[in-house]
Order: sequence, then C-alpha cells, then structure tokens
Amino acid sequence: MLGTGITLSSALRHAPVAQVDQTQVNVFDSLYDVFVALGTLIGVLVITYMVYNAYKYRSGGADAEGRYDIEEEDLEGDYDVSRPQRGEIPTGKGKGGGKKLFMSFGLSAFLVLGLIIYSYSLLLAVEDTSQNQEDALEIEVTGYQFGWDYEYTGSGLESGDYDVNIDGVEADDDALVVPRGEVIQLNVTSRDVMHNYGIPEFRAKTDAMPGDYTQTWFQPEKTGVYRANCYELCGQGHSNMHGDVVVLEPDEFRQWYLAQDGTSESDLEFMESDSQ
Amino acid sequence: MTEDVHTNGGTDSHETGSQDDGGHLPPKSSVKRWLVTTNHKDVGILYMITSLFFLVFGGILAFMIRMQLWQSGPFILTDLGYNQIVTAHGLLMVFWFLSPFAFGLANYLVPLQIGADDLAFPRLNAVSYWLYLFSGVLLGISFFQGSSLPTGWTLYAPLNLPAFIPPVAELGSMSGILALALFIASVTIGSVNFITTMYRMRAEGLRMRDIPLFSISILLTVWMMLFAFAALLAALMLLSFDHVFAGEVGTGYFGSEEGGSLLWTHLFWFFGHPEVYIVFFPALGVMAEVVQTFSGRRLVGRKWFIIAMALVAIQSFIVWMHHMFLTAINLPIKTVIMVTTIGISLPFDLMVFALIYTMIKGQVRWKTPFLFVLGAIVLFIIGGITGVFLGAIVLDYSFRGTYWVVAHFHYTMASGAVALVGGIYYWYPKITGKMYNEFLGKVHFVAAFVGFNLLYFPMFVVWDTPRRWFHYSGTVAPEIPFTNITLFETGFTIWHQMATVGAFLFGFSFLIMFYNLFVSLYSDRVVDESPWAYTGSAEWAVSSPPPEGNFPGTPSFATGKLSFLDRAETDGGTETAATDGGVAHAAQSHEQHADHTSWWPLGMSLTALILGLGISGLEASYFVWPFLFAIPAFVAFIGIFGARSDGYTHLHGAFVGAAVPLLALFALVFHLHHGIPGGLAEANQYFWISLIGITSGLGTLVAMGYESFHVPTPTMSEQWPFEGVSNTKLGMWVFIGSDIILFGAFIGSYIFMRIRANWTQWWDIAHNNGLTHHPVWPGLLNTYLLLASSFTVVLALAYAKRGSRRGTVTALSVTFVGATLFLLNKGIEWVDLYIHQGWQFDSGPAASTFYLTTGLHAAHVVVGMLIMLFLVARAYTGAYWSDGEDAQTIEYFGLYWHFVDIVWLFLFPLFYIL
Ligand code: HEM
Ligand SMILES: [Cu+2]
Repeated sequence: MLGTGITLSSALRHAPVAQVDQTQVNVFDSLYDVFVALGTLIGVLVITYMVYNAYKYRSGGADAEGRYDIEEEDLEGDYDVSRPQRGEIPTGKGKGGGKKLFMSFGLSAFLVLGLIIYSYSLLLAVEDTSQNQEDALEIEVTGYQFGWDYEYTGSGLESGDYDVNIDGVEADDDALVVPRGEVIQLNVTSRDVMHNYGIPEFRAKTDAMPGDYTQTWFQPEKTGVYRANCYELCGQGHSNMHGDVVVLEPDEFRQWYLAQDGTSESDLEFMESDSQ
Repeated sequence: MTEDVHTNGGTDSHETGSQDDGGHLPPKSSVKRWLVTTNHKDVGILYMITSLFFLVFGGILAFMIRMQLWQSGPFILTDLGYNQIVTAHGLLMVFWFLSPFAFGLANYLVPLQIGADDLAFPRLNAVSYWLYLFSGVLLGISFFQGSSLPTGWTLYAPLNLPAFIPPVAELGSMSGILALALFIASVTIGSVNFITTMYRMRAEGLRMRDIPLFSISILLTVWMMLFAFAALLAALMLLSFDHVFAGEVGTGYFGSEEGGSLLWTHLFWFFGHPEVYIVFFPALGVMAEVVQTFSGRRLVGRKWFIIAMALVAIQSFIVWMHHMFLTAINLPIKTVIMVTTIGISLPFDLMVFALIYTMIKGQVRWKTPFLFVLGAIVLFIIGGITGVFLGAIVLDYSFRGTYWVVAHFHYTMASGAVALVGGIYYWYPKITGKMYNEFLGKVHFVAAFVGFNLLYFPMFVVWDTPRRWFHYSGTVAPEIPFTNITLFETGFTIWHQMATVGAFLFGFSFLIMFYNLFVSLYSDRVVDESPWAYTGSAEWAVSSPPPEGNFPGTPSFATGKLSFLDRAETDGGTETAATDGGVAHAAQSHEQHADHTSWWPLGMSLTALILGLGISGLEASYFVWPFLFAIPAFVAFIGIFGARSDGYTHLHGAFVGAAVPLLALFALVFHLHHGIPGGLAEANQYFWISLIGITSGLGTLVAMGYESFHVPTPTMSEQWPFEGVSNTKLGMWVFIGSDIILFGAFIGSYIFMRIRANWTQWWDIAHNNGLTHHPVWPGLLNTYLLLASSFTVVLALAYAKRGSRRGTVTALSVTFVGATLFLLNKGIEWVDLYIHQGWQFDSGPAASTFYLTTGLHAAHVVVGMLIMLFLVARAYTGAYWSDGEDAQTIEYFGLYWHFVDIVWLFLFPLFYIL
C-alpha cells in the first residue's frame, strides 16, 4: 500500500503545473489526465486488493450438515482476530487492523490534499483569466426557450441584426462568430428559465440564470463551426437547444464584423494588442 | 389475550405455534391484519413490498428512457413525455424506492437489534407507512391529470412555476409537489419515531456506541432526514405558494428578480446533498453487517468507522454548493466547498478500507449477500472516485449537466441499492424463516452486476452527452493520459445502445430475485435462529421469524452478553437495580394491555391523499374555504367523539352547539365574498375534494386522539442521554428540531431576498409595490398576547399537577382566548394591508415574504388552538389533573406553544421593525 502511495505522489509531481496562459481546453485536459490516471490506478488497485483478499481468505469448508453455512469454528488460535459472537456487545477487545487503517487513511489524505492543491492552482488560472481579461472580445449571451442570443458588448451588435453569410461556412444566422486565438469573454444570463450555456469543444460552460450574470471564457485555437449546447433542463425544447459557434481566422472575422451595421474599427482594438 | 404471547421457535421453552398475539392482531393471512397493524415487523414488511413496487414503477420508466436513447432524436416519447418520465423516474427511485426500501429493513430490524419490543410510537409508525404509500399514489395520480411534473427531480426554478409549466401539466405538477410534501410528513414522523426509540429503548447494558452497525447507520440517517427534509418542505411550501398565489414571472419567491432561481438551488441542495447520503447510509450499515458475518470477523476499526460516518453526516450539510459551481456564487465560497467536498471522500475512504481489512484473515464465504455487498463496494469505489473528479471545480465546469454526473450518481446510488439487495438476501431467512435459493441468488448477482456496468460504464465514455437530452451526436476518441495515443474513435450511438442493453439485463435480473424470494417462501428450507455462522447482533438470537413480541424475555446486556430475563421478575423490579424504580410496578399489567392495531393510521393517511388531490386543483380565491369550513366540523367532532369515549357532559354539548354558529359565521363571510349559491356552484370539483379531505382528516385526527392505544414504556432500558425525559417529550423536542429548520429556511429565504433586493430599501420597495402604511403596533400587541398565552399554559400545567379541574380548564381556555385574539388582530391587520391598501401576496418580495412567513406562524397558532380545544374537552372530563392521569400531556403541548411563541419573537423584529 505504501508503495502505491509513493508511486502516486511522484506521478503527481511530474504532472503539468498550472500556467496562466493556458486555455480552458488545456487546463481541462491536463487535469482530466491526472485524474483519470490516478483514479484508474487507485480504483484498480483497491478493487483488486479487495477481491484478492476476499478470495485469498475464502473459507474452504462446505456447508454444515443440514445447514446453509459453515460450522462456526474457534479460530482464535489461527489468527489474532475476534469473531462475532451471537448476542455480544460488539465493542471492546477489538483486535488488529487499526494501525493499518490509519496508514491507508493517511495515505489517502495525502493524495487528496495533493489533488486539492493541484486542482486549486488550475482553478485560479481559469478564474483569473475570466476576471482580469482586458484584451478580450466581450459578448453577452442571453438564453431563452430555446436558443441563444448574442450581443457584442463593444458595438451592441445583436443576434437578429446580423447574418452569417460567410464563404465556406455553413452555420445558422443566430450563430456566435468569433476570431481564432483571442480570448472570448462571455457574460451569460437568461430571459426566462434557467439554462446552462456550454461549448464542449472549448470547455466553456456556465449557468444562464434569470436576473443574474455569470461569466466564462474560451480561447478557440482552431477555426470551424462548433456547437453551444444547453446543459440544464429548460423545458420541452431542451433536448434540441443548441446553436452554432463559428470560429474564423482573425482577418476573416474582422471583415465579417466590420461589414455589419453600426460596428467600427475601435471595437476591435483587443485584437491588435496581442496579435502574434 | 392473557396468555403469554411470546411464541418462539428455538430459544425458549414456551409453547410454539403460530399463535396470535395478545394485542388482537388478526393472523397474517388476513388482509385486515395488514391494514390495521402497528407492529414494527409488519410495517417493515409493508415498506419493503411497497418500495419494491415503486422500484418496478420507476424501472419501467427507466426502460422507456433507455428505449428513447436507443437512437438520437424522436423515437417513442414526445418532448413533454420525455421530461415527465425523466422527472418521475428520478423522484420515484430516490424518494419512493431507495429510502423506503432501507426503512423497511430498519423498521424490521432496529427494534430487534437494540432489544426493544417495538418502536416508541407504533401507531405513528403505521401513519408513516400509509402516508408514504399514499404520497406515491398521489404522484401516480398526477400522470392522469394531464401530465406529471416535467421539471427534473431537482425542480429548478423558475421552470417549476406555472408561468413555464405547460398548462396541461399544471395540475399534475401541483400533485407532484404535494406528493413530495406528504412524503416529507411521513419521513419526519418516522425520524422522530426512530430517534426516540433508539435513545430511549435500548436493552439494558447496551450503550449508544454498542448498537449494531446497521442500527447506527439508521440513527445517523434519521438525524440527517429530520433536518434535510424540513428544508425541502420549506422549499415546497414556498413553491406551492408561488403556484397558487404568485404564478406570474417576477412575483413570489422563485420567479422573483431577487435571485429566485438561485434561492431555489440553495434550498434544494441544502436538502439535496444530505439526501444523497440519506439514501446511501443504510447501505453502509448493511455492508458492515454482511462483511462482518461473511468474513467471520468483527469490523476492523469499528469505532473509527462510526466516527467517520458521523463526520460525513455532519459534513453533508456544508457541501451543498458543489452542485452550484456554475451559478453566481463567488470564488472564496467555491474554494471552501471544493475543500469540504473532496474532503468528504476521506471518511468514506476510511470506511471502505475498514470493510476491506475486515475480510483479511477472515473465513470469507462467497454467499449471495456477500457477493452483493462486494459488488456494491466495487460500484461505490468507482462512484466515489468519479465524485472526486466532480469536486475538482475545474473539471466540474465541464462535467456539469453531462452524463458524467449521471454515471457518477448512478454508480453511488446503485451501490446503495445493490448493498440493500444484499441485505434483503441476508435477512430474508430471518424475516421469513426460510432460506432463499442460493444458486438463483448468485445468478441474480452476476446478471445484475454485469447488467449494471454495461448500463453505466458507457456513460463515462460518452460523458459529453448533455444530460436529459435525447438528441445526442458527436464522436468520442479517448486518449491514454499524458499521451496523444487515441484508443479508438466512435460515434455516441453505439455506447448508448450498449447502455440500453445493459438496462434490460439489469432490470430483468430482478425478476430472478422476485421469483427466488417468492418461491422460497413455500420451500422446505426451514432455518433456525441464525442460518449464518458468525452473526453477532440480537436479531439472530431469536427464532426466525421472530416472535410477535420480539424476545422470549426482557433482553439485557447487563452481563456483557445478551440474555433474556424473565418478564415477570424484571417487571417486578427485582432482577436489577437499573430499572427506573417507580413506574416499574405498573409494567406487568401494561405489558398485557399493549395495543397493536388501529384503523386510524390508514384512515388518516387516506384523507391526506384526498386532501392532497384536492389542493392540487384548488383555485386561489377558494383556497382558504375548505380549511375554514372544516373547523366547525372539528369542533363538533370533539363533542361527538368525546361524548362517546369519555361520557356525555355539557361541554360536549356546547362543542357541538358551537359548531353551528361558527359554520354560519364562516358561511356568511363566504357569502359576502363569493355569494353562497353562485360561489358554491362555481367552485370546481377540487374544492369539494379538498373539503372532504380536510374535514374527514380532522375527524380521523380527533378519533385517533380519543382512541385508547396503550404502548408500554419499557421499564428497564438503557436511555442515555435522555434518562430524565419521557418518550413523548423527547419526540416533541425532536419534532421541534425539524420545525426550527422549517422556519429557519423561511427566514433564510427572506434574508436572502432582502439582501438581494437591498436591505435598507426593502420597505421603500414595498411602498412602490402598493404598501401605504405598515404599522408596528399590531405586531407588538400580538407579541404581548402570545407571551401572555405562554404564561397561561404554564399555569394550566401547574393546576393540573395540583389536581384542580377548574384551574386546568380555565387556564387552557384563557390560552385559547389569547390565541384567538392574536388571530383576530392579525386578521384585521391583513385585511387592512391586503384589501384596503391592495398590498397583495404577489406585490413584490416584501409582500410575499411577509404574508407567507407570518402566515406559516399563524398556521402553527391555529394548529395549537385545535389541540387546545381537544385538551380542554379532555380536561373537563378528568384527564391530566385527576389521579392516575398524566399531566405531562399539557407539558408537551406547552413545549410546542412556547416554541410558537419564540418563533414570533424572531418574526416580529424581522417583519415589523428592521
Ligand atoms: C465520495 C465522495 C463524493 C463526491 C466528492 C461527490 C461529488 C459530487 C459532485 C461535485 C456532484 C455535482 C455534480 C454536478 O452536478 O456538477 C455530485 C452529484 C451527485 N452525487 Fe456525488 N459525490 C460523492 C459521493 C456521492 C454519494 C455517496 C452519492 C449517493 C449515494 C452521490 C450522489 C450524487 C447525486 C445523486 C448527484 C447528482 C445530483 C443531480 O444533479 O441530480 N454522490 N457528486
Ligand atoms: Cu452533493
């Protein structure tokens, strides 16, 4: 058991450490990897250990004559353990196992503490980006039964006012259009019931609650058309509530954006400062 | 009825045979027995069978879900149909199957394990059962009212409001909500009962820490239930209020701008997280018992196992926000919750290791119960580990609302169910006296275990499927951690189809169990006290099935080991000095007069069902009338039943006489409001159903109050730490504990909304919403009135103890008058606010919280007044104050009344001054 612990904790040490410039996808992937690896390892070990011992210490004896279980034997001699006796008071004179129990407990505590600290550092990274992002495209997302409305905070450009006629892109007109490589900051709310806005591809997700705003962000690193799903039961159309998210090359995005009414270059300042 | 009733197979030399108990219980073959029984073993069997029925009900719904998911997109269900089925499946499995299944075992076993003859309040135990059954029936009825609840078992707001529930589902939704409320009534009564029993009725020499592990797990479960369900009750009451009086968006509680949606998640999960442990804890107890027996070894680290359980039980109340990581709660709070959540896996971890270490050096027999428990531990390990994933907030951000959550909680919950099934196999021979078929048991296990994993493991693979969607799409390509090596790449469909196949295998495996358990009843595999080797707890020391009175003699652990003392001797108090002296002499005669049957639990619960059904369709303008009209009936019932039971007196005549003008008064007010012929003609059928339900309900309550139902209090039992408190008093305390949470949740909601709205401008907002004038003096006056009435209750008790009939009756009557004045004053205030100023129930958050919170308090006052009417009638004919009568009843009522008083002392400043 102890050996396990050492292996596990060193695995932890070699795992990737949080970096602030990670996207949500990176953060999720690295944390998920650590958890899957550790979780599988621990799960397999513990289950094997249990089944192995249950098998190893199986009783060889057959059922007693005319009964449905073995004859009770006095085994005090074989092992130093206490056997249940009918009508006993179960406390007191308990023998064995306590120390071992605490060892495995300490080990788990150590692991769990490690996990807490590690995942906390990643949480901070995610939350920092979410809250202190200046060079981001800010978008207000409003859920409704059963779809998403977007408003580009800078210009007030809204779903319904724009269309998504872009060469080579097949997407609905109520899609969200964003540039690749930028941080997209979402302020999410709802107009009716509670929804949950999530883009699985970019690991962005947050509740859409009437009367409240919640934040999330993502940083798309590839172009294409992706889906924004609703992850909270919101009524009869819930199962089909999704919209498109279109990721364009920055230039294409600029072109598309400026072609819409009421937009101006100054809305796109965030793209200059950190364009690679 | 005078003969010794303790027939018994083996341990006792008394005559054997299926002799009937002295408490006039009909034989088991008679249907009537099962309707009137209050015996804990009978009730336990009823619970188990009923919960299995609900398992089948919920299971059929699960098949429908899995059929629908065979392919993406529309298949066998409509959108609304799917949402209903998902909701009802969740509710049924969590509330109506899993917990009651465990409580079937608990009912049967806890008294046996702790050495009690029955639960402390057997009649209330029967009430618990019937309320449970009928609450489930009401949920079933909701399907026939158009549509059941379509909101998911979490009932998130504001989707749970009339504004967003399709009109066809409004009636059914209300029924669903009321079904839950009835269920909570059942659970609360049950919790009070178990807590009282376990603290007060243990066999001599059995300390709290010596209680067998299954009973310990139940004790912790009922404590959690007591508090958690009170919070849910509060949430449901607020929700019902919204449904009836404030259904528009932007009004009431959960539709309000003041974070109504967030408020619901807080209230629900404050209940909901403890609830998931509530359903799991009894399974932990079963695991411990079964592993001990089939390993032939005492649980390793028993003490630490118990401490870990207690820790989890407490901690379960401070992790609820891990269900809300994506709501608007802030980072520091999230951090704390992350720590408590991941931390809660540690005590669980200790328990699992304790179970594993117990197997080491054991004599492990791989019998069916052990197999199920071993399987359950495997499932729990997987469920627990995947739960830790969810506790790491960053991962939860992505897992939330996906099949990862679905798979996680099915692993944990099914672990509980599987362990309980192991428990059923384990105790089946004890309960029936026959051994099940071992081979079929093993087949069941293999089919269930394989089926289950085939059902739920694929969900981890395609976890990106949004929860409660049946349109799924996408591909899955899992990678080996830390590498870019893809294991395979497939679409989602195949995995969902695997799950569907698994579902059918899992479901059908239970048919094997039903068959096995049924056929074995008629087999010749008769068993003695303990068919298993290495059993420890007391239930294995009596015959199978146990005798009607549980034990062949008074059980005692005084010598360090269970022994049965001769009842006659112990009752005389000669055997030990540990009996609590005085009452001991009465015990012998009590013993023979113990009652075991009553029709009223069934009757009362049935009226509760009728009332629930009625309220589901009761319109706002008719809402109070059934309740008002029932009050004169109640007064008359006291007169009639009282005269029948205590002999006719003038007071009884006066009660019946007073009912008439009272009814006339209410009818007059109704007339002014609706017009008598027209109003009644326009009332829908639910008005009449409610009227029948509440009237007959109050009637059954009075009848129950007058029924002579004697339950002997054990004279020789371990009662630490409540030696000085009688059963009823302890029960009252415990009940008040849950009531505190109820009010706490109401007040908490008020504070939440007020902070969200702006604490200091609360009343300005109210003025904008129509309030012109909110004087303090009615509240102040009411404070004085209530304080005075508390004082007169104390007087009543003093007079009763002194043996003064006049004093007792007068003091109680004065208290009643005080309460009446309180209500009158309140009525005048409400009429002014509501009608003259037009500040109505849905006039903004200040109005809703004011009316509902003080209204809840007023309802408590009314209940107190009804009880007082009963007490006065009883006192007049000699109860409480004359010789041999128990003055304590007044004291118990006084506890309640003082509590109502104290609540007001909180409400008055909150709603009048601040
Ligand atoms: C061992 C430690 C456990 C941890 C750390 C844990 C953690 C969590 C977390 C964080 C969630 C919220 C997921 C989300 O909605 O985003 C969750 C959901 C849930 N857990 Fe656990 N859990 C644990 C054990 C259990 C146990 C023992 C049970 C019940 C027997 C249980 C039943 C549930 C249920 C029913 C839900 C889903 C509720 C819903 O959204 O409908 N969990 N768990
Ligand atoms: Cu939880």
